[in-house]
Amino acid sequence: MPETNYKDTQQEFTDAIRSPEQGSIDGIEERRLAVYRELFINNVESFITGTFPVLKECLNQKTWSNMVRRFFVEHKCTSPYFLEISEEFLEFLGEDEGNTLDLPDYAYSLAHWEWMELFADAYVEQKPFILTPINLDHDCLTTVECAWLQAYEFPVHTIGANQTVEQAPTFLLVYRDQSQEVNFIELNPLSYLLFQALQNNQLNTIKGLVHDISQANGIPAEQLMTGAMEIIGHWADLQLIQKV
Amino acid sequence: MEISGSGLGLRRGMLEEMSKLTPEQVDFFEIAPENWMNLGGRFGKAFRSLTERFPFACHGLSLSIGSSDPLDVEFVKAVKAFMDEHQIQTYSEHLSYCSHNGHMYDLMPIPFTQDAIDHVISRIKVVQDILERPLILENVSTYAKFGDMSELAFTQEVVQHSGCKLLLDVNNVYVNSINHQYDPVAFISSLPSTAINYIHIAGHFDEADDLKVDTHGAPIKDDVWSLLKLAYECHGVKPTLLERDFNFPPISELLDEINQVKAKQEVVYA
Repeated sequence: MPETNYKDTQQEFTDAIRSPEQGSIDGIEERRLAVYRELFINNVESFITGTFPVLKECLNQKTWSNMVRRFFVEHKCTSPYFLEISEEFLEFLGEDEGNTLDLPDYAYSLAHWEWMELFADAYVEQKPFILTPINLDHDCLTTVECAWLQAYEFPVHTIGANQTVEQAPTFLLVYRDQSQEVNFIELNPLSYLLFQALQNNQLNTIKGLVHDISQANGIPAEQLMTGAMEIIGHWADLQLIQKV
Repeated sequence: MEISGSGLGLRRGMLEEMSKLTPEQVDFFEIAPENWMNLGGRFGKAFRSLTERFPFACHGLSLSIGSSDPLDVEFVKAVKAFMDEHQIQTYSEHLSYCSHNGHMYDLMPIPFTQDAIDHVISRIKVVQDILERPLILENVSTYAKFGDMSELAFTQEVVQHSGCKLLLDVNNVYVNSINHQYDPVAFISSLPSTAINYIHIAGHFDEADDLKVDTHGAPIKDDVWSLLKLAYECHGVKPTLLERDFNFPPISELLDEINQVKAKQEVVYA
């Protein structure tokens, strides 16, 4: 028997692991192939379950297994890092435009939210936060590095098993505090805009930022100011803002 | 820092308990760089403080030295930078492949053929050039065998022509000796002593009398302990790692096994 090329052997073997329905391989016992098939799909599934436990709860077993299998078969994972398997999975979900996976309409938003928690936990801070006193009236302020704003079409932070999920614009602030714990706060649209303005701020005082938001949204500045100062004070207590 | 003695695999799931260990209990820790690179926050902080107290070894998972996918040179460079940053000297990987048209995140048996040997050797050389040290490759557990060559002949060829070193996993020798019916004693004693510079020991799962699965999820079996003793007698005492990836027992049980490794090392030294 002529020796086959190692690449062809690897192709045949990986095909047999990824897609069991393709059948057996000559000369390899079925139960041995089965060990590989089980190890691999269980491994991939455990990574996805680890990051997306709520998504798993929200899907029936058949939909979940089909989704995991299709990810394993169809998605070409390029990352060597295990924590990034969840990012690869998110990418896979994002590419399923016709919803051939038959997932609920909130699935991608929910998965993104669950991934966000992992992202915040693992994020490598470039410049460590240093606590310095700030003056809300005069200082030019911005947000800390470990704070991320997210806007979703669904209330992703409240989704659980056996629940009807209605579409509703949802604004969330995820942050990692100084004890490295990941937390989140739900924001209303105006505080979302305010935090965003602080995040992008380079030169302005709070007064200036509030003035700009009030102009853009047709709300009197005085009306916004009290609420803005209160919430920024709260963010300052949580060490989410610092001097530019 | 160079590793010596007996070590434990550092797991994120057991980080709190493992952070409390002292250098009297454990000589070194091993990590998969793929799980600790680009990691900030609480894990990054705990890792950094451990690297200040213990020697570390990197044991990689994603290199895929035997794959026909292109070698991820950028990744190898990142591993080198990570090791430099944390002053880690030892980098081992698997004589295996874990990708084909993309990563599959688990280990598969390289076909034991001449064309695969040539392919693996050329890739080892590229990796060694980037890392500026010999690559240390582990004999892996396999449940299927491709190619006409024996695992021993394949391994010997790769070592001889690439200049790589070996991580001798005695549990994997045991598992494969049953799965593929060879003599584990002959396998271990035939390996070149000068190439072996690291040893792994672990538990495994009995799928059937003639099929064992390397799960790293069970205590070490007596037969495997005997092979460790044999390896020390044949090749001298090498730094030895206790692998445990699932079904974590209380830390005291892992320390008992660590102490058994230490005892075997001391007998050979004595």
